[in-house]
Amino acid sequence: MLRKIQFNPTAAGSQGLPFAKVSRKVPEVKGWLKPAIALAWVLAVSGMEHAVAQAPAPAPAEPTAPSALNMEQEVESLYTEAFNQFQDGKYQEALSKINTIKEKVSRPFEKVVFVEGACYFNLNDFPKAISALELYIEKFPDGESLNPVRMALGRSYIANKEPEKGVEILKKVAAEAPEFMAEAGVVIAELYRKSDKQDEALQILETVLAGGIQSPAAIQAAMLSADILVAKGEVDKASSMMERVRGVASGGENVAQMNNISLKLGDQMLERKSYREALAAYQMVRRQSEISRMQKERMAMIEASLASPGKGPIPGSKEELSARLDTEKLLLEEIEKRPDYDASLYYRLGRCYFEMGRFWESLLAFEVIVNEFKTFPQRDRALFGMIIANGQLKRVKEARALCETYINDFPDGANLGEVSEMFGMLAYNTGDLPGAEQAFDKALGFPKADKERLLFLRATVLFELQRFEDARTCLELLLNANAASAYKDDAQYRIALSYFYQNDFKSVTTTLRKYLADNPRGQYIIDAKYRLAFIKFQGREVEEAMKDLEALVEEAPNDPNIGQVYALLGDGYNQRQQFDKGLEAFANAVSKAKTDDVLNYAMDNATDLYASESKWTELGNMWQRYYETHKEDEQQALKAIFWISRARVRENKTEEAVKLLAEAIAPKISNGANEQVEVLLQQLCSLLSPKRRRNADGSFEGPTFEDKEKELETLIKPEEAAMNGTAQMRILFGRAWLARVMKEPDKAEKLFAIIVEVAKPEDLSPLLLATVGDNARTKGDLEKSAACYERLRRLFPDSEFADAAPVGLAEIAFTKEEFEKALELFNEAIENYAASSKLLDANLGKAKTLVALKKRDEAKALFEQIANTREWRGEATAISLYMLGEIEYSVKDYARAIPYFQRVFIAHQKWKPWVAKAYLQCARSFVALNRAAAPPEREYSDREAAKVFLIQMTKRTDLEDQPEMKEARQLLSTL
Amino acid sequence: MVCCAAGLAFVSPAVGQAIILKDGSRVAAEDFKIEGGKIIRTIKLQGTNTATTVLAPANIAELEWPYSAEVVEGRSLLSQGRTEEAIVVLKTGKDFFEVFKDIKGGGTLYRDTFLTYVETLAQGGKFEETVGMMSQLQKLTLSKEQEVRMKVLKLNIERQTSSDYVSIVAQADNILADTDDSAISAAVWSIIGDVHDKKKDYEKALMAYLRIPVFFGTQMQRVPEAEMNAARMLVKMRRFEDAQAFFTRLIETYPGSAIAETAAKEKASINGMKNEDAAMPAKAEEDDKKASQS
Repeated sequence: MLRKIQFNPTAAGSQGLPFAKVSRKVPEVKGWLKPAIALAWVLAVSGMEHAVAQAPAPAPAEPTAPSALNMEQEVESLYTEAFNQFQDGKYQEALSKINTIKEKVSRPFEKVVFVEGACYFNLNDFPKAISALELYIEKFPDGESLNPVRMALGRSYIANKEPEKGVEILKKVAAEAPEFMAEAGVVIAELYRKSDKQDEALQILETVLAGGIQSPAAIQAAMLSADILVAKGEVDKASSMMERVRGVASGGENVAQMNNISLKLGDQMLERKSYREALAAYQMVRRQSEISRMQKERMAMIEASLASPGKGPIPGSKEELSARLDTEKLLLEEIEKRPDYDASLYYRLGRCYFEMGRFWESLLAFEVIVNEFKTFPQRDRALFGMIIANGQLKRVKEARALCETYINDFPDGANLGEVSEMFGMLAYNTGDLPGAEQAFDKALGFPKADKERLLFLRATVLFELQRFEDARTCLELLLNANAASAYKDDAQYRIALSYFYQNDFKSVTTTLRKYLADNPRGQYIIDAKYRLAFIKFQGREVEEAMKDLEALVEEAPNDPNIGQVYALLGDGYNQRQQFDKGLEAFANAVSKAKTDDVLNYAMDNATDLYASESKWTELGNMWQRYYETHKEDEQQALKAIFWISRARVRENKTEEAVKLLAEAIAPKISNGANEQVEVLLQQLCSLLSPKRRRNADGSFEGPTFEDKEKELETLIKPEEAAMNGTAQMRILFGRAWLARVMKEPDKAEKLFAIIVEVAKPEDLSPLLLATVGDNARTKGDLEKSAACYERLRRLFPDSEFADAAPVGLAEIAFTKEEFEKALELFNEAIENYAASSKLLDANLGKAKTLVALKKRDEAKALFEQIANTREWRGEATAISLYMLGEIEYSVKDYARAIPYFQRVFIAHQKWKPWVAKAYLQCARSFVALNRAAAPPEREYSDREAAKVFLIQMTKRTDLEDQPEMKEARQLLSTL
Repeated sequence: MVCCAAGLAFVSPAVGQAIILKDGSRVAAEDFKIEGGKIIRTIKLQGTNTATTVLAPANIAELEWPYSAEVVEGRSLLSQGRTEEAIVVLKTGKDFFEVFKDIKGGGTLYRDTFLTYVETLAQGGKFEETVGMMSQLQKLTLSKEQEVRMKVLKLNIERQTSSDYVSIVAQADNILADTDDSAISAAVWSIIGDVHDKKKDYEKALMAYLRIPVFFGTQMQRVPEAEMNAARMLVKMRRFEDAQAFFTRLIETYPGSAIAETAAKEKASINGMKNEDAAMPAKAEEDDKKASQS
């Protein structure tokens, strides 16, 4: 392997001054002559003796004549001296010896001609060098130094202003001796470049580089190519060339040159906004101290060589070394003259990373500038970059802290206005509306703040906080101060909307009409008209509203708000029971909707209508279209799959539906955040569950649960790498659900128990967090339960199962008798999850907590509200009535307590635990009252009444298991 | 035209790779090989016949070898995330130059290749092998720059055996303060990242690892590993989306490499998961930190 890697040591000395002849000449010459040392003695016996002018040709077997031997020895001695002088850089002296040899021999000899040519070459005496080198080629076409000689000859012709001849020879060398191709190519390309033939130069270099870049000469060729391309403005090609060099040229002698080209290339790329390429170029640039040091070391080596040309670490004649030193100095000057070299480089790197969306890297680059380059003129911009990068990473706390730093440190900063705005926007974007409102309020006081915009933003947040009066005040302030404000359209419209959301239909009608009059080309014209129609709709002027709406879809069929107009039309047609028209309107709303709210509303309604009309194909197609446009949104995509699969089932394509579901579940099963997975899993379980007939012994005919369980697992198992904790828990959940669907409750229970036992909160999806949390709490494992709820609350606040968290945590706090905390959490649940399935639990919990906190009036009011809510009728009613009785009992108002208890065991018999409790407390209340009989109003004494209810209770077999039964019998025995 | 020979250029022996014998003659690269620590020379006889002989180091005046091809290739492989292959290549180079370590022109190459080989072992997490090589390395006469590289290697070993993080970071800072060398700085930042990782200070670890691609991009051989470590820190910070972007980039940038394969596996286990710390209130974040520290 080692020897298959191409090197060209002759290029090694060329770095920095890329194509000066010095860089190639001496190493080659030295290299040529090394064999000559060894062959010097061979010459003496294998040919040179025959060439000595005066020596007769000796017979092979005869001893050599003394005179001839002396001549040979003399020539040998002269050659050795010449060679040594050449090695010492004493070219003239060497030539003098060569001339003496030439006088003594009758024909040219390879080594002698070689040294002669090398001496003239090194003396820059190119005509004589050409003459000697041509002679070598003519006389020794098979000579061992033929190719180096041809290289030198080509360069000599170029130096002698005969470039055509030179190029011809170099091309021949390159073609015949591949190991010289890169070097020859570089010389030719450099010549073309100097002759302003850049395209020809590039063509040559392209050929050189076709086989790859590994040897120093090839690296040199690549950099020459990149340099030419940069100069030509062909930065894409230059960039790709430098990219090729990156992996192989980590430094060495090309480092300063590479640094220089990379900086120029990076700047050009940055200007063109080609950030990836700019980044690749800047990454090749070293820090100023490093590159300066390396360059100075290089210059020191040249200077040392200059003190004694030909003997120092860098080969070359005095003139050549001087020229190289000048070039290296220029490079160093260029590096050192750049002000703020490092900071400026880091700033560019930060920009590139930022523009490429690589915010962590950009943050680092900007942070280093801010912390380590205190005098860098663009430090404020770097800090601004940090703010934006943190913002993009949703690190609001860090970003806002940096905003304050910016405002304090750079009161005149170019981005002050944006920073002031961002101070609030960062909070807003993460849903911290109160924080955003306070931030905008604070920002209004910042110097140079754009008050008009900040007022508008503050109003927007106030609006979202439903602080409509404050929002209006803000907007009116804005309009009063800036009658021709750019926000006029928005501000006026929001003022009207604020009334809309306050159900002040009179004011909203007035302000919307004013909006329409003041903004005939306003962006909310259609929306305003829609809302006016909506008000009519709500005011039971349905026909008129429908007319307005129908006119609107004619007037502006492509308005961005037209989707909601169609949706309201759909509602209207539904009310009229014109379901076909309704369906058509909702289908239009689906296709025209521009916001998710409208789209989801229209989709849900259209889904209901399609299902009720059994238009499964249309339903499937609608969701298929939705799926095609929402593939990137994992949650929504799976929601679509749910409906598509349902449609397929209805079309008797169950297998297709199963396949669809399985293919959707498997790749997403490891992502706990996607809560649609469980929905699809449940659907899949239903489809896999076979219709089975139960035998008399309770067993089933047909496939067993175990068969189906295996099938399910095969269908949803992800690839091995994705089999994380979440996937494992979901597979368990799927098996448990399948058992439930297949009416195998014991197996289902066991599997659910395993989930609760082994699940780690960090592996669970929102549904499983809620399920495991509730189960663990019921079993008394408060720690695990709390961990599940905490995670659910923190990470999935928008999940449809999120309401389980505050309620569950509140119940835990209640169990621990931390009533204030429990109340706070129950309140959170009630306020934040108003439409939640846990709302009743939250209200019941709050009411019982109020009792525990002895806030009886509030508790009573809440229990009454629960008891009177029709939708909550059931156990909650029984509990509320019982608790109302308990509240009266606790203040010894037994007469008021008794009817509540009686209502429980008379009207809510289904709820045995509460019935038993109510009986007992009712009896106790009578005992506590202890009034005598007073007919006709009171037929029995209270003790007798207590006895009657206790007998009634203890006779009931359905209450036998209730713990209160024992207490009831005991009390009865005392009466 | 030069292009006609292009195809041959890269399988030919390199110019200048040769052994110079004490009698001045050259043994070109293609005429010898190293076997069992011995130099086996092939001599061309008449016609196509050849004979082999063992070349005694005592007869060698100089190794004429421009530089270590294995070091270049090793770095190139590392820059493609192919650490195991780089180790193999560098081992070959080290074994080759070892024969010439006491010969003019061979010592420098041996030391550089050997040091690079051990650095790569360390980078590849081959702790035992790295430690095993240290005694041999310490016997060599190193240049000032190589001494610093040794210091970094020792610090890396200390990082894996000691829990005195304060001392390790202090040593690392001292090295950084004394050097402007990108290669050394990149190696030190990698150690600093590892230490912060051990301390469970993941964000600091992330930023330390990222210094390598951001500020020391010339050290291509360290970039894939640094980016991989950065991605892992993001996972530990529960910044799953960010980590996925890093893993994706690794997969796309270094196709077919071991690092891409590892990235694909680690990405699969968090695929589709959202960043968590963005939603994490300060207190919860603090609790998590306490829990992880306990």
